[in-house]
Amino acid sequence: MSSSRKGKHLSKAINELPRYSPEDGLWDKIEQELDSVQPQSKKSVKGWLKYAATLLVLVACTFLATVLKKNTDQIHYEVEYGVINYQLASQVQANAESDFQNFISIECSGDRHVCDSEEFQLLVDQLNEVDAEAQSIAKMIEQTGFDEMLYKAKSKADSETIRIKKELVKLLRG
Amino acid sequence: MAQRVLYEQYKTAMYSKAYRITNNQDLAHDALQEGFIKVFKHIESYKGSGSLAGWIKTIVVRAALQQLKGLHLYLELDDKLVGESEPFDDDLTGELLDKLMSELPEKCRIVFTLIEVEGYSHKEVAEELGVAVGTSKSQLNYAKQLLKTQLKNRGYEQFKKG
Repeated sequence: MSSSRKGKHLSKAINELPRYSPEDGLWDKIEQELDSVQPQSKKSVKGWLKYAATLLVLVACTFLATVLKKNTDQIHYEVEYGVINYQLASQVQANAESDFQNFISIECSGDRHVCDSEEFQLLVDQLNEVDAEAQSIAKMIEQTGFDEMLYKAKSKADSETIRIKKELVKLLRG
Repeated sequence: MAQRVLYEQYKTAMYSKAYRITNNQDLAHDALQEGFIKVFKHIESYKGSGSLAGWIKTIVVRAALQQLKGLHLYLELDDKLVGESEPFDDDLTGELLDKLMSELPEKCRIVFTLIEVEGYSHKEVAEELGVAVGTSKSQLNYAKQLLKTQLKNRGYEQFKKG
C-alpha cells in the first residue's frame, strides 16, 4: 500500500502508532501451557512403547512356538529315524551273528578240543537262544513301534549276547 | 531458552497487532498466548520461505480474529459521515489515530487495521474473515469515513473549548 494512496498524514500517523507490551506474567502462562502439552507427547511415546513391547512379546511367543514345534517334529523324526537305525542295526547285527558263526566254524575246523567241550557247547547253545530271543524282540519292535519294555529286553539280550561271545572267544583263545 | 528469546523479541509487535484487532487487553493477551503456543508447537512447519516475523504475525492475527469470532460486520453507514475524498487532517498523530481506531466499530476497525496498518490485501482480508472482497472494501471505506468524521468532531469540540 503506497503512502500516496493512503494519504501522507495517515501514513505518518500509522508509522507513529504506539506500541503496546503484554503483561509480564504472560510468558509464565505460555511456559506452563507448553509444559502441560509436553508430558502428553511423552505419554504418547510411552503408549507407543507399550504397543512395541506387546508386539515384541507376541513375536517372541510366535518364535518360541515355532521353535518348540520344530523341536517336537525333530523328536518325532528322530524316533522314526531311530526305528530306521534300529532296522539297520538289526541287519548289521544279523550279519555280525553270521560272521561270528563263521568265525566259530573256522576256529573249530581244526579239531580243537575246546570246541568239543561241554562248556563251549553250552555257551553256543546259550548264544543261539539269546540270539533267537533278540531277533524275536526285534521283530516285535518293528511291528509295534517304540516300546520301552521291548527296548529294555532287546538291550538285555544284546548284552547277554556280547557276554556269551566274550566267553566263547576267551575259551577259543585259551 | 530459545522459546523465551523468540517470545521476548516479538512480544511487543505481536501484542500491539492483537490489541488493535481486539481493542481489548484481555482478548489481546489471550490471542498472544494462544498464538505463541501455536508458534512453538508448530515451529517445525515453518519452511523459512517467508520471514519468521511474518509467519508469527499471521498466526497471532488469526488468533486475535478467533477471539472475535461470531461478531457481525458493520454494514450500516451513517449519512452524516464525511465524504470519501476528504483528506486526513495534518494534525493526525499516531497516538490520536490509535485512540480513534479504538473507537471504531469492531469489524471495520479490524479491516482498517489489517489493510492500512498490517499491509494485508482485500483478498487476504476477505479470506481471513470469510467475507467477500467487496465487503472488505466497503468496511475500509467506512472506517476511513468514521475516522475523518471523528477527527472533525474532535476539532470542533476543541474549538468549542477554546
